[in-house]
Amino acid sequence: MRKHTFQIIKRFIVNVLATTALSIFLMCLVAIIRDFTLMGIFVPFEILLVNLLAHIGFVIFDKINMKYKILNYIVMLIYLVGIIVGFGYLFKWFVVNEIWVVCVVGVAVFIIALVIDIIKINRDASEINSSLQELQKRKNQDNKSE
Amino acid sequence: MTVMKVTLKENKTKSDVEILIEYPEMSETVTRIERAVRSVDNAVRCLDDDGNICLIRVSDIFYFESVEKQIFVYTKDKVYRAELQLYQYAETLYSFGFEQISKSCILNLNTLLSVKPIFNSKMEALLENGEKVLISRNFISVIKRRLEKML
Repeated sequence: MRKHTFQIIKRFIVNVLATTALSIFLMCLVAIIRDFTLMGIFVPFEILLVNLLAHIGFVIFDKINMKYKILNYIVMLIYLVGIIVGFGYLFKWFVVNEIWVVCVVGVAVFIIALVIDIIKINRDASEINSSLQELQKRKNQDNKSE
Repeated sequence: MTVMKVTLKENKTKSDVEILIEYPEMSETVTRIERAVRSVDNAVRCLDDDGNICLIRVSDIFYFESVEKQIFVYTKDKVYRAELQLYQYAETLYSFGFEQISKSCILNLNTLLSVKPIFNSKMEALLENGEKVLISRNFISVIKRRLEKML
């Protein structure tokens, strides 16, 4: 059980770091396209903090079983935009970027992470199903030989 | 592939059933036969609807579920109340193919037919009796590894 808890924490940290990296990459991309000046030295840490809070929120929302599944995603998105705008003002991100640009980057990270998650879960399901089919085949062979 | 020979012999001098497995060399098939034979003899103490104690064969159990601190045992078509905690069943029944699939459920992987991905990175497991149980995302990799081991 302790090993399992460790794996959950490890997965959480990996997810936070992955979305932080993606956020920083997209922000740099936006900066290049829109010809902005370089980011401040603390901005990556600010982005890390926002990502950490976003993931904590997602874990909590994940525990709430809403009647309509799509509602869960909508609530997650509203929460995400909320913390982006809130912390954006706090960290003065909107002096350099417009609000909508930062929000679009945040939503883009959310969608990319969601798509990767869906691809991964589908791959895992097909791997599990092929293992189950193989086990079933062996069971049938055993039954025949009996 | 050679056909496995099964011999049943009545012996009045024996007080209980004795099983001898003879094999040319140890293999995964032999291990699985041993596991299957042992699981028939192993039982879990449960309480039925009327509060009577009954013994349920491990191989007949589909899954254990914790609902409001009470543990329930699900067989093909019946539900019993269990006496131990979920983690205790997870430990003792691990060798019979049981694996934790969520915070509140331990599944007998031998009864698992297929899985289907659903919303929020969870999976829906279809069991042999047509029942469906949820697999939490945190347990997916454990199940994957376990099934690979069972192959």
